[in-house]
Amino acid sequence: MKSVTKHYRIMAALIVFAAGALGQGEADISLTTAEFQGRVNTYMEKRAAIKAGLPSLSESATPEEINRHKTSLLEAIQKDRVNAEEGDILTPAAVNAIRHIILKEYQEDELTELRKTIFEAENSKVPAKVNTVYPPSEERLEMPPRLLEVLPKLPDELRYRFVGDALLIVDKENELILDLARKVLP
Amino acid sequence: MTRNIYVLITLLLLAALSYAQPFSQSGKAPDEAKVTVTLPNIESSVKFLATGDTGRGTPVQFELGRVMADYQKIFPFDTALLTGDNLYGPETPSDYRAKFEEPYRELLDRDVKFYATLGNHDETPQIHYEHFNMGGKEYYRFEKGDVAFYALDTTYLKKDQIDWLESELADDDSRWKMAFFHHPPFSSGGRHGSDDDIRDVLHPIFVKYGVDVVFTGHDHFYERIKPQDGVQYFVTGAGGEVRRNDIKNRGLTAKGYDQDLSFMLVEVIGDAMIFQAVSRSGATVDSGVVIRQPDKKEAKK
Repeated sequence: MKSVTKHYRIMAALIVFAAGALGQGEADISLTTAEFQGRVNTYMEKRAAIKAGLPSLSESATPEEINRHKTSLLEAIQKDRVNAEEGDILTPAAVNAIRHIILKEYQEDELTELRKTIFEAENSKVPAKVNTVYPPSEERLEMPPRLLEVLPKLPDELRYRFVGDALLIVDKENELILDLARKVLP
Repeated sequence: MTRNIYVLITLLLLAALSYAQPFSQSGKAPDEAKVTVTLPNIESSVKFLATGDTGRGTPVQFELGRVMADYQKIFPFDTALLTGDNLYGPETPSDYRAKFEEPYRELLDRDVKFYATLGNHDETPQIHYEHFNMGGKEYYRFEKGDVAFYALDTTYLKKDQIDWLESELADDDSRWKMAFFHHPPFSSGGRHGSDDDIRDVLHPIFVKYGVDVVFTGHDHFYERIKPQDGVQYFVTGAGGEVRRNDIKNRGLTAKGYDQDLSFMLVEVIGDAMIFQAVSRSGATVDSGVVIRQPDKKEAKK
């Protein structure tokens, strides 16, 4: 776990350093992104500590073993994050940075198309709340590969997901909504 | 030239086999579907089933499961590809049973090995499930005879996965390369249709590295797409539900069926892939042969 922490710190330092060579706006974005990844890393450290106390899941598990593992991890994380609030990870500055990144990547017509895809999706009305589980009966809207390419990287255990105009960060092993930001699409 | 002769011989052999073998057999029990295998059904071939959007646990899914089992008695496939949406709704242990294990009990008892991919209704922990054979991975590759299968996760197609796919394909000398996943790059579905985002990323890779055949789901019907730059795409997403009359005329369809649940049976012999699409009544709704295109590497030789 220490190596993970170290990895993120080095990455954050590199981003901040690289930002110095860019314009002021780009530097702000890079710094914000580094801070965002630092907050994600804080979650990952806690998660790793919780997971270390659970039996590992084999590659050929029974439904009972899968359910036990998912539920144990979920309950422990929910308990640990009982005071989590919207914007803890996706802070206003992080959301601004994400908007900036999207605006830079997408032309206006492409953005219109992206908005249309997301807003017209089956899951666009799903009620999303921090530290609750994404409703199992609802679809998980696919993330456009192009957008994933430019958004700040998440560890493999976490996923971005759109629900209407909100961007969620979800733990893929138990569908827990870690954070969400509304009106993300510019 | 040599290859053309080889393909011609393969086709003649297939025709001869079709003529010589009694492929049709009616089911014995009154509740068994009429089984009419139009495939060569030779002993040494690669045989598999492909279906998708299965996981509902409804009576019609069970009925289709019984038709699959009836066909498996005659056409003994040992592999089944799932193109995602394996479990709709909650995913408790009883859901795994009601939406997967029970509908396919006979196939599982006969050691048919299922290989799953994740759809937009699937939770990631399915990758650990013993009967989905995913090896704890959202995307993976396995081989069967002359065929390399690539299972992809199109709900979250991030760069790591794309890089992995390109790197694996670049070194893959398998005679056949096939991919299966959930979101269709080409589809005439009114509800969903072609997924442009997925197509923009995956289709050029398939063309570049000579992927021959792609099986997808998401749209709840059967559709054989007209070949796209040498790649044969199928939508086989009616394993648990059908969206009647959802196939729209977009100039993509070689053959479509959107009136009932269905699945595909596939047999690979040399450079020929023979397929048959079967409905819930056991009727054949499409059949044909895909002849493998020579890889660019081969063409240069």
